[in-house]
Amino acid sequence: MKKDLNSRIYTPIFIMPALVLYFIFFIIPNVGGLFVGFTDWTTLYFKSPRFIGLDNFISMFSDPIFFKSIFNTFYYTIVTTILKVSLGLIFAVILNNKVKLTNLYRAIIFAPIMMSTVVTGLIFSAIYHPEKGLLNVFLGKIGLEVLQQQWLLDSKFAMNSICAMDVWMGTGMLMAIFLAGLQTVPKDFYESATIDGASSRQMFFKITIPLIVPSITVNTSLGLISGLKVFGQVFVLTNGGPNDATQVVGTFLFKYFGQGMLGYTSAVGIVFTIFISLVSYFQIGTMRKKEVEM
Amino acid sequence: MNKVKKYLIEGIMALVSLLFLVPLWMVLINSFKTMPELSEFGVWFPKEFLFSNYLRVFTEGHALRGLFNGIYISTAIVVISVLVSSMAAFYISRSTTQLSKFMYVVFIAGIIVPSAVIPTYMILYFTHLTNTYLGLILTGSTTALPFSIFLYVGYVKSVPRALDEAALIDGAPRWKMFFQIIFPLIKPATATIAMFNFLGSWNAVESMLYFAGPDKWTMPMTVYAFYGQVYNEWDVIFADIIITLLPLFIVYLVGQKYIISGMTAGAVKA
Amino acid sequence: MIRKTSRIAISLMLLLSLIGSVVACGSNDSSSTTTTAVSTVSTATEPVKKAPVTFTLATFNGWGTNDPILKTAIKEYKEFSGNTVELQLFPDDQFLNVIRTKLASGDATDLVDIAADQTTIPTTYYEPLDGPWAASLNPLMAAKVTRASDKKITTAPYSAMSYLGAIYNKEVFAKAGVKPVLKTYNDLIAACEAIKKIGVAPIQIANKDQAGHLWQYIGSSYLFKNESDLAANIMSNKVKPQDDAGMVELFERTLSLKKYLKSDYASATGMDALKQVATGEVAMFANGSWCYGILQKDFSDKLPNIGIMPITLGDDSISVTQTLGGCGFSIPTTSKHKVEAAEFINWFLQPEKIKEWSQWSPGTWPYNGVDTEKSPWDDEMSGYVDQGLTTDLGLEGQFPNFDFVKNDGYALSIQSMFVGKPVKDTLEAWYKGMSDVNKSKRTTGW
Repeated sequence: MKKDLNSRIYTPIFIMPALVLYFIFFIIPNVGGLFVGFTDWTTLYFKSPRFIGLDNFISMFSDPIFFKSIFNTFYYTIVTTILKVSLGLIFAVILNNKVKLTNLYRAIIFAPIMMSTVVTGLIFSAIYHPEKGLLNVFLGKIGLEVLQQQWLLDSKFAMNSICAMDVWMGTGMLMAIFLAGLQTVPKDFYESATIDGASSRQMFFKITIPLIVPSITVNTSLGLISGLKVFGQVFVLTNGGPNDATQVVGTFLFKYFGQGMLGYTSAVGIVFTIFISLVSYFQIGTMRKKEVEM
Repeated sequence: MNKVKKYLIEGIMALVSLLFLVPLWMVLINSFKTMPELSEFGVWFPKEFLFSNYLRVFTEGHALRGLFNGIYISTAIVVISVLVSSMAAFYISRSTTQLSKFMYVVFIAGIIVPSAVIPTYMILYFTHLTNTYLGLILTGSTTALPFSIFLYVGYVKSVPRALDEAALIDGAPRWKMFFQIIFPLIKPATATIAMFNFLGSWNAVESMLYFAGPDKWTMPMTVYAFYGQVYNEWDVIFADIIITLLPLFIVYLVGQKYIISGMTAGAVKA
Repeated sequence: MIRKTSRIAISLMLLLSLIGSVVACGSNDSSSTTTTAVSTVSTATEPVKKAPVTFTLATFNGWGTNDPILKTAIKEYKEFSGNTVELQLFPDDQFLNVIRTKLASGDATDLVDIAADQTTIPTTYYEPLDGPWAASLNPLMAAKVTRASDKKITTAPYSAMSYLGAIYNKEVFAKAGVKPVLKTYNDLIAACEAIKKIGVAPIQIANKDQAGHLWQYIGSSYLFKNESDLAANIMSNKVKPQDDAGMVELFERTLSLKKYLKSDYASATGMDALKQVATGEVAMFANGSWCYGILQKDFSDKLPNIGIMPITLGDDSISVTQTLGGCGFSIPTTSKHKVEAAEFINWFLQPEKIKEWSQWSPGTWPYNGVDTEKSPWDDEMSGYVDQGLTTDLGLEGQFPNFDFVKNDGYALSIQSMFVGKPVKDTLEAWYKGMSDVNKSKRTTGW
């Protein structure tokens, strides 16, 4: 009876329009990309790609810059995910407790989500500009010239400067998801805890955190995936420089894409997709286990 | 003590908000200055508000064309992606078959897998859709699918199943049942998804470069008339950014109150 | 279970066949080279009576030098012929790849303005060109823009053949007691010391724009003169640059200039560098004589005080370097308005028009006997030739395929060297860049 109802109401026809689109414009190109990874296809020889076996993968794994870009991607991902998740959670908790201008603060912190990485990148390259930039001009005005830096051109600071921009851009989105998560926590939990004499710190760790684990899971995944897939932020600000200090897989891939080396680009893309999938799989797996335990 | 803490928190939040506002303010205020005055990117008012930069954005940057293309393409993408993904999500979250579970994984994979620009371009080429609005709209809608389905699937789960069964007893066709009964109930998710997809397609750059020529380009592409490796006309770039952000700002003002409600069931309970 | 597997099998087969058809379509229409030249010699001077058409021209936002020329030309051409040329401006860092993709698929504009350079785009994508201008084309340039397979010209170059050298501030030089030309590496170092003493930064390299390699590129002609087969050996992958002692020394000498650079060398752009030379904050900046046109816009009052001179990093030879680079029009084989596009090129390259355009790109144009505006810098450079310096057309002139100096490998690795990459790693990074490009071009030996 259940199965009967199931197939009577819920027909796979509903999925067809989405699937057709997805199949033509996503699955075919990506599966095609799989094949391309084993060829020497370039825009110079657009009509005559040749099968070259594993050559692309061999030259990728013998390139120290590729490993450097993997390391940098991890660094970027970990730093931005930790900062965005913790800041997002802190802001969400504060703004969930009716501060005076809650709505205004929310609207302001969300605002960067409407901007593209290109536009944000342009704005931040203006902020980080060594002579004209707002940051150095500001430091100069308040007498802190010693702190002035070549934010994007000094390999010591370049990566962290990009991370800072990403935190500015991405925290609002994660905060929104946390706020949504916090709304699912029943208010009377806190009331009874207050009656029991629990401190606000205790309530945070004993009630809030366990109940919003699903949103922590979602946010960590989103942070990790967007971190690993990072491209625009680095491309606009430093394009991988100086001396490959900010080279991430996204820009590494694009460097070869820009030279028209489509086969090699695909090969890097394949390796990287496997990589992201593994990371997401394990991350979601461990987090889901935590949810059950709690 | 509690009062001090309250003011402290209020102060911190005000400072944080300031940090988020300053970059935008800098762009706005500097867009009214011209090059000589723009020897540094400050946050103070210009000596005189000049609109010459904006004039150049419209004359040399083809901003009107960019705005029209952007609104046309993004709106179409929003409509298509909302209709298509809500239906797919309804099936995926309701049906208990293996197929629906499999499809969920397939669609969610789209969040992870990076887009393949040139192969997608080849598809457009062989379907004669390069440099057409239709091509841009279809590829844009496809890009929007995975995250939309992800949010919708979570949200549909919060709508009681009993409603579907009741509707079926009435004998209405299935699509009618969906659009008359279920679709109105998932409006918060629709608002959130519509907003994100509008923002996303408005801001898409890569697809524009390859899939269409400048006559179909949207607003964010116009900045390249002023931004080069050597010649950076920052004054006009700032004005261009403001024009690019203006429609988004309107969408954002209308849509931002739905963000949290749309996400509640969509992303968090999933 | 069986049904499930068969379903998967069917969908896989469907997929494969789709991909197969995609690949098949791609290989069908290869070698579609047209042999008839688009020649409309007679119509170049009289207005066209046909109904006006609009055709598209793709180019990129580069140095901004072709910008005033193109905008003026398009305006004048509309008045002349009634035809509208729609300029499509692409982001410069992605232009080549986008246009190559579109040329390959037949989706390009009716006319493209890329570079008078045959090494980055397969010439089979272009229509052969002909017109009155072709006869007067400078033979060296003609060799560069002629397709090997059928000896047809495929690109119509425009813009001056710039000199390359150090743009310098005469006042600063006089104050420091430095006189051009600095004939050896040691002279250069001595001059830098003298300039440093009077409190001016000797050199700006504009590393942000990867302009640092220019100093070395211009200054390296001694090396290729002394080791006459070095360039050929590097091109054919017989010698790795990191294994050649002379090449290593060249890179070391380039890096030794680091202590004479202006402090903001890492963040400065080419525009910053020109401004700094103009205002006397910096004594020298290596670049091309096309910069005269750029300086004219913002620093016309300072121009008499700015000169250009040849440079060398060697001990025994120096020569005046000229480049064959520049802009150039080509018509894709898939252009929808081949005839009109060719008419535009012929109109554009009439001698009196070239004279008009040369106000924005002063110097010798690659058309013999065509009178063009000259800048004082051209006179200065030809003056050095009169003093007995040899001229050369740079590496690209001597070795038409020596294009790798322009690809990312060379400029990018030298950019990195100035911010800390060791010389050995720099040379290896350059070699890697060369190897990538040559592999993708399927050059034999790589």
